[in-house]
Amino acid sequence: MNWTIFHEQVYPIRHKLYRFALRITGCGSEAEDVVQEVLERVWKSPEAKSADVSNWEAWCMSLTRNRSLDQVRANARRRTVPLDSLSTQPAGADSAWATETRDLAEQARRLMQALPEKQRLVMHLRDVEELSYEEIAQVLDISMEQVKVGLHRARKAVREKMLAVEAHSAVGA
Amino acid sequence: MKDTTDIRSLLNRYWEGETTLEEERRLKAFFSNENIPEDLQRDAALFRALRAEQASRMPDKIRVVRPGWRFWRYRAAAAAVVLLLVAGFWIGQKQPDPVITQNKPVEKTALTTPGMQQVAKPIEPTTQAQPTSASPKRKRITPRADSVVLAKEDTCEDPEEALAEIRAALALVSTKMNKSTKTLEKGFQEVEHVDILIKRFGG
Repeated sequence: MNWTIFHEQVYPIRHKLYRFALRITGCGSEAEDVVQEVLERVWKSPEAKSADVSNWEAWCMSLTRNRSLDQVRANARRRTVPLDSLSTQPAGADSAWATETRDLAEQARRLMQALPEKQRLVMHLRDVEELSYEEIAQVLDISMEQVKVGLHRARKAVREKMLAVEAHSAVGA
Repeated sequence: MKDTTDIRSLLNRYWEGETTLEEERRLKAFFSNENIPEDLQRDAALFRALRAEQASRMPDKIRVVRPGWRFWRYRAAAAAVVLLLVAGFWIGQKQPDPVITQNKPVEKTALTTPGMQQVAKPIEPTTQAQPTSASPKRKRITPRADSVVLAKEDTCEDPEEALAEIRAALALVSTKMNKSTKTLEKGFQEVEHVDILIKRFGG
């Protein structure tokens, strides 16, 4: 691995890799481990391999995705909560739910985290990391059509859930 | 707000997954303002969450050290040792162990080439040419009675042979040094690979 490439193109995107790993694993320390392993692997990659990589960011993101999924499978504990299982009704006037609904941003984040894996990752790569459809397809190893469909469904699901939460809040008020 | 209509249109396209990256950045910029219409507060929450996510950083537990500078102290020390060895060898070649003789005749090789004879002359002013039967090229050197002469012990009688010996010795040293340098480089690379240049603080 060329030091200049590593220093200028790989190391600066560590935060991006961390956010992506965190989105998949749902655990900060595990995400850190994943990023460290990815950086080590990239650094160890032979020069020949290095020359083949045209988009380092997409390649590193792809490695991060694979390593994160391995981590999740190894731990056998998915932190994702199915979207349908999220209650939209307040459990009580003084419950934790009432506190959470005041933090709309946090609620939106939870809704995104509750999406099915593929939709969640597509939405994260697009709306947080601002990758193009082509880059997302490369990272997730899916077609661009699947990216577009996945993004549409993810946003639609978040939107519907937000409206449902809003409607229940209005009824409860 | 001024461009709410445009924003609402963009927002609808966003939810349908039809916006470009640039348009999505415009939405994020718009929703980062404080004065958002009440009916758009829910949408604003999502974009604030996205912006907060974008701003999140990995805890600074990883650092990278440039490979060339990581072991500079060890490399400098190794270079100094090699330099000393080379200097010692070179000096040793130039001035081998002297043989101190006092008031004794010393066997000294006299070179037959004119140039070499001229060089040999100043150190043996009292020399008398005494060709021996064993070697017509040898001279018997008789130092002055009160002098102490530092003379070299020769093991080669033929200059060509001596030159060949020196060349062989230098070639051997060169080979050993090359081998040592390669071993050293390999060692550095292995250590770097083990540490991977990425060290956790306190890890």
